This record gives sequence, structure tokens and C-alpha cells, in this order.
Amino acid sequence: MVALLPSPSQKALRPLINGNHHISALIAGCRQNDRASQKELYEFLKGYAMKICYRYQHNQYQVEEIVNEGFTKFFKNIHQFDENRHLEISMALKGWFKRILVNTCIDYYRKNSSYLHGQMLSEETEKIADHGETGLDKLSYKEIIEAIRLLSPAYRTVFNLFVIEGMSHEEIGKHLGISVGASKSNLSKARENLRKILTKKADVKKYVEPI
Amino acid sequence: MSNLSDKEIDRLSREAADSYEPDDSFLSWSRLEQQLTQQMPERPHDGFRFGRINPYVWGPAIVLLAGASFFFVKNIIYSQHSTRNNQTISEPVSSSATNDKQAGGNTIHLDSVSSAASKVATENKSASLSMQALASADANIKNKKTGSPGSTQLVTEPQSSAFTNAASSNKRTGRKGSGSKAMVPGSILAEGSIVSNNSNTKNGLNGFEINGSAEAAGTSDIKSNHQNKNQIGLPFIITSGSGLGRVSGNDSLMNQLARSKTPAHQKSLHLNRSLNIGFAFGPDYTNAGGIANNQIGNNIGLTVGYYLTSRLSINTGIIYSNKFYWSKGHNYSLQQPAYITQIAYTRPFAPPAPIDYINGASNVWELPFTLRFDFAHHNKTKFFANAGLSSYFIMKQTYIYFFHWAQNPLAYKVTDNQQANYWFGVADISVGFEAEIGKGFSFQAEPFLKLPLQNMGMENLKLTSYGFLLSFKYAPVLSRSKK
Repeated sequence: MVALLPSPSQKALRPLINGNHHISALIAGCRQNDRASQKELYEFLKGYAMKICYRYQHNQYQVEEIVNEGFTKFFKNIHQFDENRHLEISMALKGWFKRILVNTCIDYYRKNSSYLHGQMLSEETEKIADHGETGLDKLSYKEIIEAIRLLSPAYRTVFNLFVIEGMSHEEIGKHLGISVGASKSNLSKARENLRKILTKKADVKKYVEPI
Repeated sequence: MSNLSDKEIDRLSREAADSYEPDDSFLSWSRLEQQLTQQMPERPHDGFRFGRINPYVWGPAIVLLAGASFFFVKNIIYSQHSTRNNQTISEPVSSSATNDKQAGGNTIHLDSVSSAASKVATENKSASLSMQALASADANIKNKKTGSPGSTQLVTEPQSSAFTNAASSNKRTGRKGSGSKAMVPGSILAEGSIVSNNSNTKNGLNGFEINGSAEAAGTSDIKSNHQNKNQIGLPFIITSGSGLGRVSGNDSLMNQLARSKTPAHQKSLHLNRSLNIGFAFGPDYTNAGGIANNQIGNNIGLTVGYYLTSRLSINTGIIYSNKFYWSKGHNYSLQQPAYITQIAYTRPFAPPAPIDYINGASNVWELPFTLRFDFAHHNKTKFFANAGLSSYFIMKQTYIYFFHWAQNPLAYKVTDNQQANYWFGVADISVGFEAEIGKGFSFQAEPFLKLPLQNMGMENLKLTSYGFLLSFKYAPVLSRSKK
């Protein structure tokens, strides 16, 4: 590790270090399809991607599939991202990436919607709800997210798009290929089911912050 | 929990979505990399790959091919046209004056027209310039009687710019021409033998007519055979004392006439178009280290050329270029920090980090000095080769270094805004063609290759560039004179 210590000249360079430039360099590398840059950007963004995609899918394998598909789209289209228009490049990049991920989730849902539509809670929902995994009398963020994931795909997708992403019913209907009424109905039922799940999951009287 | 309202559920869900970070340890870069490898094959690749650079290869190739095709197809059409009309030039004349148009500008020896006629000795079909052939070549030589014996008008309706220039110049001399494009003062003497199958040829005391459209006044001695052919016997003399000459004909005839060796009378119009200025632009592909590049640079600028002789010209200009290039990193080392104005890197690194690749970009002002030789000329198209030296003035350099440190792939970016001058640092070679598109205006396509004579840039790279320049040029008339 001694060999890895920075030299005095490199110490002088440290004040020049700038996160924006680093991201810009990585973006430039990705535009050249440089694997090293892609990998570093992947490591930088994979947690963020996971956070989004995790809510849309219950199956871990499918989550990874969507994340990888999102990254592939991201790298393919990164030339469309103009970092010069943003002061905070990493935030802008995340916002742009989020749109790609959400669209990928929607595409995935639509692709599999023929057999994913359902009105009832899944068996796993009942199982986990009865299991009372934590045994706590309070809900954590994780339990709420897991509760959302236990919703049926149709309800979960509409709930995520409306509540989390902030889309309107018109936009949801357009994206999912359903009517506005169906979107509203799904949202209502999603809330109702979520309420049931949370009620069953733990007899919580108070919501607390996670540790 | 049963008291949870919809709003409360929404709020809790949003908070959870913002705050909760699921375990992402099961995500694997290797699986994504496999996917990327299938859908986005990795770059850069070492060595010359035709598939990668083909746009830069076949782009100039197509331009050259189009020019060459134009040249040959036109020749073929011309030869077929000539064959159909059974036209044979008995005495191919030498071309000492072929490029008078180019020589130190555009010089047109209209006197050679008259002398050319003396070279047109024809005999029947085999070794003659038949009257019919003359007609089929759209040659209309009119020797019109101007009212008094001895005066001849030689009317030209040339397609070639040389004659056009001559015409326009002669118009400005104020000589009357009644719509003629070329007014040739002075006498015209033509000797020769013309044999024709065309019965339209007739002779007369006051002149002769070719294909019914030519008349001659003067002391022409013409023998004709009205049965099968019309023969104009030797010597065929067209004289004009002080009358105005008018010649009407197309390029083929005019070129033949213009190639005559022995001018009888030294009367010529000289248009000096030695100087030309142009606007040039085109793509630039730069290679530094044998790594294929998919980024296209740009060239844009002004050019100036001056003809020293009929075929040789000196050219210069000022061209602004954006150059992009990749290079293998192992050939280079990190520069001293003094050169580094920006660095984008969030972690310390250990010197000397082995650099994998360098991605560079430079903004360059280029000052070329080249010598151009026109090795072929056909009608309005010139084919040339160009060679010389160029100076590079690099205004800005940006480099992105890709390397590994502690097995982590990293990159950082360095920008140098200091100007760096490299006088005659590049050998410039090009070939191309220039096609005339109007009076004094021309279009030029010029594939080029620029070879480094010295290392350049803050990384001391050998920048090899190629691409092609498209130019629109204008050659103003610097002077007009008669010789």
C-alpha cells in the first residue's frame, strides 16, 4: 500500500478534483463504449436503479433483468444526454436514468401483462402477512416497500406510477394501455390491498423511522 | 392500521420509496457485461479495421470514382458519337497550346483557330474530316460574306469556357458581332482539303458553305463534286482582310482548332485567372496510435491558390479543424501536473498508473503550403495531385485517460488551453479533381492524407489525418490583354 500513497504532486492535484468532471469523463467514456467507464458508472448507479426497479417487481431475477435492460438502454442512448445543460450532472443523470428505468419497468409489465393481471392478493402476500417476519409492532420502510411488492402486478404498477412517480391517470392509461377509469380503479384497489397487507403484517400503531 | 387513510398510505409509500435502499449485492456486472458485449461490442479495437473506417475510405473513393467515371464516360460518348458520324481527324494535332486556358491564367489564342484550319486536311472517309462529320460535331463554321470580298467572319459558339471567356472579352472590345460570342479581328487564313459526302457543300465565288450553314467570302479555291461528294480542293484558303472573324462550333472542333501548332497570325486574348480563392470544408478522421476511431472531426476554412505555370500552382489557406482520436495508453505517460488544469477524479491514484487508452480532442488552426500539379484535363474538369507541408497551431487539447488503479477502472480528464505551434509539422498529400461550374467558379473534391513529421500535442502524439475537402472556388479575372 505504500506504493499507492499519492506523491506530493498528486496531493497538489486533490483540490482540483471535481465530481462533475469525473462524471463527465465517465459519460465521455461511455459514449466511446468504453467498458471501464461503463462499469464505473454502473457501480455508481446500480443502487439507484435497484431502488426503483425493486418496487415494480417481486421476483429478484426479474428485478435484475429489468435493471440490466435499463442499463443497456442507458449506455446505448447516453449520447442523447447533454451534461452541459445541467449544473449538477450526477442529479441530472439520475433523473434521466430514472425515466429510462421506469419506462423499462412499464415495458416489462406490458410485455407480461397477459398473465400478470390479477385482482387478488397473491399467496405469498397472505403467507408473509401472516408470518410476521419481524415480529415488530411497527412498520419500517422496508416493510412498506415489501408490502407494495406484494400487490398484484396491475395494482402495483399503477400504484407506483401514480403515488411514487407522480403520473396522472391519463398518463398511466396511455403508458399501460388501459382506460383512465381502469387506472383509477386499480389505484383504489391497490390502496385497499396495501392497507390490508399492512394491517395484517403487523399490528402497528405508529410508524417509525428505520434504524 | 385500519385507520390509515389513502393520503397517509401514499405519504408513507413515498417516504419508503425515497429512503429504502434494497440490497443490490445480487446484481452482477459480469451479467450486464455479457449483455453489453452482445448488443454493444466493445471499442476501441486495435489495428486497422476497414469496417470501422469504411465511411472515411469509401467517401473519398466515391468522390474520385465519380470524377473518373465522368471523365471516361464522356470520352466514350464522344468517341461513339464520332464513330456514328464516321468522323476521322486525319492529322491529330499536337497540343502545345492545350492548356493555354490554365497557363498563367486563361489565355486563348484565337489566332490558332485560323491556323488550325490549315491542319485539317481530309480525304474521303478514311482520312478526312468530312463535311458531314463537321456537321455532326455541331460545328458550324460560317464564313459569311460581309459585303466585300476578302472580309470573313469567323463565328464561334463555343461550349468551352476558354472561348466563352474570349467571347466575353471580345465583346468588351466594342467590336460589332451581332450576337456573336467571339469576334476575331484580323485576317484569317485557312488552308486545307476538305472532302465531304454531304451534298450540301457548295462552292462559289464568294464563299463556301458547310452543311448548308457556312459561307465563305474571299479567295477560296474550292473544287466540289456534286455527284457523290463535294471536294474542296487544295489549297483551301479562307482569307479575310480586315474583316471580323466569327467561328461557330462546339468544343470538339474548337479544341482541334485550338491545338494547332503554327499560328499564322499572333492575335490572342489573355484572361489572367491565375489566382483563385475558395471555401473548403469536409470531414476529418484522425488516428493516433493505430486505434480505430468513430468520431469524425471537421475541417472548414479558406484557401488561396496561384498558378505559376499552366499546370503548376501554389496553394495555401487557413483551415480550422476539430480532431478526435484514440491512442493506446502504453505508449504514453502521464504528463507533469503543471500541464493539468482540470482533473476529474475522486480518488488518489498511484503513479505511474498504466494508462489503457487515451481519448483526445484538439482544436487546430492549420496553415498549409502545397504545390499542385494538374496532371490531366478534360473539358471543364482538371485532375490534380497536391503535396506540401502544413503547420499546425493547436489551440486547445482535451484528453481523457482511461486506466486501472487497484483493479478499478478509472478515468480522468485533462484540458490544456495553451497554444502550441508546430511549423511544417505535417506532410500533406492529396489528389482530386476540380470541375468548372461557371465563369470563374469551380467545385473541387480533394481526398487528403496528412502524415505527421513530428510529435504534437501535450501527449506528443503522431496525428495522422485523412478525409476529404470539398471546395467552392472562384478565380477572378486579374487582367485582360491581347497578344
